Formats: sequence, C-alpha cells, structure tokens
Amino acid sequence: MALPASLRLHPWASSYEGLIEGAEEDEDSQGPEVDPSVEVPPEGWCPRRPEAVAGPDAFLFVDGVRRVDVSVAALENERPVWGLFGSYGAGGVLCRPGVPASRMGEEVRRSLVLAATGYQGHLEVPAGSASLRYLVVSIGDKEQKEVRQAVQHRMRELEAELVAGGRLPAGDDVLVVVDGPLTFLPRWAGHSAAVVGLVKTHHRRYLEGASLARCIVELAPGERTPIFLVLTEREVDRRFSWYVRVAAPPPFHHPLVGIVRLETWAEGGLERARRLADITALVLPRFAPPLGWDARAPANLYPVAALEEHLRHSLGDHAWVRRSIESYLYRGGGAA
Amino acid sequence: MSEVGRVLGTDDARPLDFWVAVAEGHYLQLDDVVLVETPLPDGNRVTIYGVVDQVRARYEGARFDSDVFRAAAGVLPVGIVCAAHVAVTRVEPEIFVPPLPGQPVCRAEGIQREEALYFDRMDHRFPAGLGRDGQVVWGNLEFLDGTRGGHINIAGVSGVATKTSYALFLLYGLFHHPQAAERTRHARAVIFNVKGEDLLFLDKPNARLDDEQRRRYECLGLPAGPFRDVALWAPPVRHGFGELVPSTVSRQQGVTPYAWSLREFCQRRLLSFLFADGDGEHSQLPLAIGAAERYLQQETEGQPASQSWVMLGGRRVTDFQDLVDFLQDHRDEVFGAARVSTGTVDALLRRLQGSVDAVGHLVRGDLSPDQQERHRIEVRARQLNVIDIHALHDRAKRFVVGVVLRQLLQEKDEQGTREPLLFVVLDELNKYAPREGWSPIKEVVLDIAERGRSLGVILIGAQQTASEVERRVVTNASFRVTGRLDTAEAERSEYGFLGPSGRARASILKPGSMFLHQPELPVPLLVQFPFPAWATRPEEVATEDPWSRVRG
Repeated sequence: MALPASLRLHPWASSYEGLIEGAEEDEDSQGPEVDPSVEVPPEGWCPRRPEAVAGPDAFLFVDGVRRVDVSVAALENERPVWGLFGSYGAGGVLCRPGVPASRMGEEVRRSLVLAATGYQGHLEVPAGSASLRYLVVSIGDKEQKEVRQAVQHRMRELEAELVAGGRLPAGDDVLVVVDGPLTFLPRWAGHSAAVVGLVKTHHRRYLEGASLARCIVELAPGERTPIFLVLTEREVDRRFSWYVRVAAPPPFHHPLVGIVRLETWAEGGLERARRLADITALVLPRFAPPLGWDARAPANLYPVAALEEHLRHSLGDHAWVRRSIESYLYRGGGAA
Repeated sequence: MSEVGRVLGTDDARPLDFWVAVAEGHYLQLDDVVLVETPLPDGNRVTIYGVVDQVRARYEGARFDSDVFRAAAGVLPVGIVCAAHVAVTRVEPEIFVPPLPGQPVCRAEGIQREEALYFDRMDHRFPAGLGRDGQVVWGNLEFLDGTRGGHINIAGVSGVATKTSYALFLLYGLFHHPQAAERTRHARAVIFNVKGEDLLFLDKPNARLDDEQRRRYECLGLPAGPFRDVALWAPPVRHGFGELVPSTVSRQQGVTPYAWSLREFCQRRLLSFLFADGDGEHSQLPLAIGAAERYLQQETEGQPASQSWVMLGGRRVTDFQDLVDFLQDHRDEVFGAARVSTGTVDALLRRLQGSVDAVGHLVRGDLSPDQQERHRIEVRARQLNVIDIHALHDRAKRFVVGVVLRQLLQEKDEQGTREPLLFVVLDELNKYAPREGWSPIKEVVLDIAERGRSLGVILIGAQQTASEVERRVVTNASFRVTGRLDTAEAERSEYGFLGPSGRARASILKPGSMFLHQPELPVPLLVQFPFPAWATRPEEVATEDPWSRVRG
C-alpha cells in the first residue's frame, strides 16, 4: 500500500532526531518488587569478593544502536499521523583470552514506522551508490514517543534474534553479555548459552533500605552484591540480579559511577546465577575503559563501545541519509 | 588482471596521485606497478597507471595510541587496513580525471606494466636494471644517444652508492644487449680509472659470480661475462729507459702506457691543462698561460712530426724539465708581449716547476716515431677504453682528463657525425666541473654537456653531490640516477625528481640499488643491477682451467 499522500518532513521534532532516550525506555520506571534474601539474608548484605572460578572460554558482547533518520508526519482524516524513518543495527564482539577480539553477526535494518494502520511493504530510498530499504511498519494510532520506542523495540528484537538465532557462538564455554535488560529476549535463548543482561543506568531503584543500598556503593572492583530476585507478575519472567563494580570512581564522581547491574533468568536456578555473578564480578572490570577513553566510561565496556561505534558507522552518514530521504519525499516518494 | 584493492574515498583521489585500500589477503609494496580504470559519463573509460610510492597500515576503530594494547589483550575489537599511495605515471587516453573511489585497482603485469612505464613506446631501448619485481626496467635509448636527449648523471655517497659499478653496468648493457647493441655496435666508451686498479680487469670474467647473479643477467637478456673489447691505458713508469712500461702493479699484460710528445704539448696548446684546478686567485694567470701557449705553438710550428722533442730558440728541448727551464730563462721573450705582472709570471713558473714531477713522465721528448704512435691514446680501436689515472698526482690527473676529453671532442667535431657514439664516463664531476670558478676542464665538460648530444659524445657523469656540480652539466642530463645519498644532500633541489618518499629512501639505498629518473616517466624507478660479471680486482679474476684448451 502506498504511503500517505500527505507524508511530509516534521522539522520541529528535529532536535530529537538521531536520539532515542537510552535503555530506560526498556523499563518502566516504577520500582519493582524484589526479594533480597535469596542468597543471603538482608541483614547479612555486604560486598562479596568471589574466589577465582572456572570461567567460560569466551565472552560474547551483544549490543545494538538505533537512530531516527528523519521524523515525518502526515495528515489523515484531519488528524496528525506521526512517523519516523529509523535505522538500527546489532552485532556481537567475541573476546577470548590471547585472541584478537572480533566483531561478528552485524546487521543493519531500516524501518519507516507510522502511527497508523494499513501501511506495509518496502520503500527503496536512493542514496548515492546505494539504495536504502525501509520496511514500512504500521503501529496503529499512537503517540509520538511510542513511535520512537517502536524503533528501540525493533533494535532489541534484532539483538534477541542474534542471541537466539544461532548465528553467534554459543554453548557452555561462552558467556553472552547483552547490553540492556533481558526483557526482550525469548527465554529459550538462555538454553543454548549462559546469558546475562548488563544495565548501565540506575534509573530504577531495586534495593530499598539503607544497608542494601550502602552495599552497592561500597563495592570495590571485582566485588558484587549478593543476588536478589526481581519479582514479576508472571513467574517465568523472574530474574536474578546483582550489582558489580567494574571500576573505582575518581573522587569527584558519584560513587555509583562504575557500577553496573546484571541479570539473568531465574529459571536457570540460583546456583547457575551465582556462578555467573562471580564470573562477571571477576572478569568485567577487565573490559572497563579508563575515564576519558569514552564519554560513558567506565561502564561502557571496550567491546560494547567499539561495536556501537562501528554499528553507528554502518547506519550510514546521518546527514547524507537524511538528505536522501528529503529528496525522496520531495520527488514524491512512494506516491509517485 | 589481479585485483589488489580499490581506490579509497576517505582521502582525495587526484589525477596524478591517489590512495588504494588494499584488499584483505593481498598486499602492495613500494615500487609495485598498478593500474585502475575509471569510467567517464560518456561511457568511455580512462586507464590510469602508477607506481606505489608509499604504503601505510593502521587500526580502524582505535581512538588512542594505547588502544593497541587493548586490542592485543583481546578486549577491544579493531580492524586493520592497509593503504598504498600511487603516483600516476600515465593516463590513457589523456583525460586527466581522478580515478573514482571504489574503482578496482589491479597489479600491472606483462603488457600493462610496459604501458605503465612507457616501455611500449620505446622503439630503441637499453636495459637500465631490474625492477623490484625482478623484471627489466628499460631506458629509452633515444634519450641517451642524442636523438631526443643525452647524458646520464649519477649521484651518490662514495663507497656505498656504487656509481662506477652502475655506469659500467649501463655500458655493459649498451654494448652487449641485443636490442641496444644494434644501435651501439660501433660506439666507443672511455672511462677513467680513478680508484685503485679496479677497472683493469674488465675484460676478465668474475670468479665470484654465482648462479643467482647469472640468473639476473639472464633476466636482463645479457650474457654474464666480461666486456668483450677492452683497451687498457696507464701512465708509464717514471725514470724508465727505452721502452715505456705501464706503471700498474696488479696487471701489466695488455696495458698500454700513454704519453704525449713535447711537440704535441706545444702544438696542441696543452699547457693550460696543467692549471686546471680552477684557481681564480690570479686573475691574470690565464693571460700568462695564453702567452706561453702561443709562444710554444709558434716556435714549434713546422717542426717534423716524427720528432717528439722540440727546438726552442735554437735550443733542443728533450724533456719537460728542459721546457720549464727554457721558459724560465726566456721569460721576457715569452711573456713580454702579454703585459702581465712579474708576480703572475713568477706564479706561473713556480707552478710549472711544481708540475715537472707530476707530468714529466707523461710529456716526453724521447719518444721514437713508432712510440709516439703506440703511446698516443686512441679510443677508436677498441669498444671500451680504460684510462688509468689513479696513481697520478692530482695535477696530472686533471691534465690527463682535460687533454683526453678535449682531444675526443675535437675528433668528434672534425668527424662531424653523431654516429658512432662516444660514451665518456667521468667520476668526480664536482672536481672537473665545479659549480663555482672556471677551469679549462670545466669548459670542456660543459662543452660536452651542451654540444655533446649533437656531436655524439655522451657524458655519463658521476659525483657525490650534484649540488656542487655546475648546474648546466647536471640539468643537461636526460637520465638522472642516484644511489645512496646523504640525508642533507637529498633535500636539495637538484633531487626534486625523487619526490618526498624517494628522498627519504635515497638515504637508505643499498649498494646495487639506484633511483633512475628518465624523461618520459614522471616518477623515479628503483632499479637494481647485478653483481659485476667482470672482475673488479685481481682476486676476482677467474683463473682459466689450463686443461680446457687441450680438451677443447
């Protein structure tokens, strides 16, 4: 089906273009219920320094990037229809001791998301030497924010596809670290490999109570908090989670800098979660960049930062893509 | 065509230079010859040929220098990319557009390599060495034999630049390669032996030539052997009696002593070549020299050619000492007309007196008519003439070089035709044709540089530093060659043809490698030449198996 005839650029939203608020959009901001007593009783909470454990041979970091190429809007039945041209991509970095880290499975996709119904198919937007293929997605009558989230969701789905799709190395000797919470991953993805989600931001407060919260900031690199259980409505969605410090913050930084939260599915059992917690506490600091290497250092780990940079590059030059879409729409686009 | 990469678009591509991203699993090194085709909007294609003059490799995805350690530790994924810079040599057809980014770049092989380096356009050519790819690098003979240009200039640090070896290699190729020999069959060459007795064994095979070097000669299409037609000339022993004996130590057999008769000295006005050190302190000295030369010429006019001594003022002068004494005794008569100051005449006589030791055995009055004939340097008989001057006093060296060069030029002048060609190899040009000052030799060398092309006298000149040689001598050379150069010297404008990377490489060139610049090619080519197939010292002379003749 052709595009809405009235589809036009939406310049005033341009300050948002290229930006989608980070991972917080994956999580609702209401504090979840947790059970802090699964590993140690709440009164016994203190930083835990794991002994050396037999770790996996390899770490596979999976991450994605997304971008609003251009915001658009149309008028349908006298009502505005929001939409956007978005590009997103995902890939993995395999790190093994003594072997150069390598990127793999990178894929870039593009979508035209419309807050309308009935539009589908593909658009071919000529852009210099290439043609950009946008999948038209109709998400029904939605808010502007939800249109942006749709791109975010598609990116997380692409990540999930990567982890679960069998294109990346798996097995017991690979620990898969997914950037962001595990919300989007199908649970069976955790059957073929050990999977943890790594959350860099601390928008949600999981742990209430002075002793529990203090335990987080008291962590030293290589230490973790005890494991707590994140309770959800459905039993199968429950996750074990823990905090790890990947780097010590400099004195002028908030003590939460250098802290990341990790999670894995509860159905794997506490013993398995404990092993993953110990491994991540011991190994992740090795991947933390020093301050100044990256704006999001130290929590933005080397492989993830490098992968994101590469993926963002693969999305194509933003100005160039945008200009291509502009001229596409100017020439009549799909309506022609 | 084997594709090795593509024109990259992150650095500007220009009609005369561009960068190539080297594809994985391939490599490009310095001096590789490549080509790229680029489409024009009208559907035609332009082929751009070039030579790699810079290669680089870097990490992609690394932000800091220290990222190399993170990459090594396996925590930071990076890519490695190699790129090569190409200096364009030729564009066919001549539409000067840049190669478009993304166009595949191929290694130029076979006929394409010939095209890239203009070898296909050379109707007459000579081997100038082997490229780094082991294939022949040709020189255009038309730019050497005077048709369109002439002369070769070789620069480089003594000892490591192998200037003389390369000059000999060029001569060897010119005389022995079937393609060049066709044009140089009757050509002659003169080379002055200035260092040791190195060049006295050019007609002997080199015992140290191994199979690898023989193979290189084979690649060049040359026989691996000594020069075939060589005459060796050396100064006679001092204070000898009767027959002249060559003063060479390591070899006597086949070496002809050379000398001039006093009569020739006077008649051909050779006196000025004794003052060839370009000394300008006495501005009147040339006047006095001219007066003495004129006097000696006039006085000996009509004296029989069979006698080597001269009658001066009724006195029989039989050796050089006599001649100097005569001038001393008759100074008023000789210099009176020239109105030069007493001081100048004194200076001239003092110098002459000082030359007696240096050239007394070269300018003689005791030669029989037959000896005069035999000991006169005559280059027309043999293809390659080695004139040994290494053991002579500096003043005598200049005398011999100056006299021989002028004699050769005069002969060619009289002959009036370019063919047969005469190649003159002259090292230490900075001594014979310095940038500053004047000397009779400089005049002759300049004359060769400027008129030699039409006379068929081709100068293969060499020097340590081209910046110290008369500019016109260097700029008249169609072929410019450099071996190892001093770093500071390489920065001088005389070596502009090397380009920035060539200058840097010139300071690390190994013996046996030279940069060759020829008129048709805008970039210098690195050439290598094989180990001499002729002996360069007595130990290298291949001893003949005494039984071979019996068996044969």
